[in-house]
Amino acid sequence: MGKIEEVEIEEGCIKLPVEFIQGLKPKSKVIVRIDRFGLVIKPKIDPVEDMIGCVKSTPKDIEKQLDERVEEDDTEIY
Amino acid sequence: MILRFTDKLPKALYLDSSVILNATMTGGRFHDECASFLRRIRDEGIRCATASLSLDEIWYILIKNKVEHLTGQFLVKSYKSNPNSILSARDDVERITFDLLMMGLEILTVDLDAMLDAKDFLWDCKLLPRDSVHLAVTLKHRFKAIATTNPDFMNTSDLVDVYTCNPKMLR
Repeated sequence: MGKIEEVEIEEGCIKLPVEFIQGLKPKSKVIVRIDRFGLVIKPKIDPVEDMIGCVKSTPKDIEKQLDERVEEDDTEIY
Repeated sequence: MILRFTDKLPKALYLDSSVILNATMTGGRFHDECASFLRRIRDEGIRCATASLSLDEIWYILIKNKVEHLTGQFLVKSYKSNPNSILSARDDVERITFDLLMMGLEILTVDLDAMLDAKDFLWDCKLLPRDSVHLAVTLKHRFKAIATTNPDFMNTSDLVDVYTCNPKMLR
């Protein structure tokens, strides 16, 4: 589902893009949150399940990467 | 004390960025263990917090992962020749930040007191600066346990309980 960049307000109601509505199942719940960038509306999902494994990556030594974050040199990886 | 992720959990826990990143990235060495641990935290309703600088660490690794995958170059080199390269990681960063906030993770401030405590922990616990800030924030906010896969936190186990799945730390 694409990110909503802009919504219209008409007669006191927020008009959401059709694609957003079509992406929801019947009785779907949404999370509405106001942050520094404005109104954020997202389908209600379990944030833990959404986060787990959402970044596909090759094997990583994350602990080493966190330790050595400023020690990269200019050589090519491949 | 060093404890296993499967041991009884306290009511409140400081989450190090290493646990979040391992759970998030499929290639993390401890992906499965950290994913199960986050589910357990959710299911048991454990109060979790982390310092604001953890977000910076998470964002950095997510950007590094994406840029290096797409360009085949180290992040710094790629960024210096094309700062727009970091935009490729935008969706990952936005999604995970939002998920962390929605799961109720508290973001703790790092103030001057914490930084001065952190300075002392450099020498007392032989920690690198970032890790000493994590420890200082943990203690300042009265958390008695920290979850991490970073073996450097073994030096802190006299001050806080350290929960981990890293076999190096559990020997």
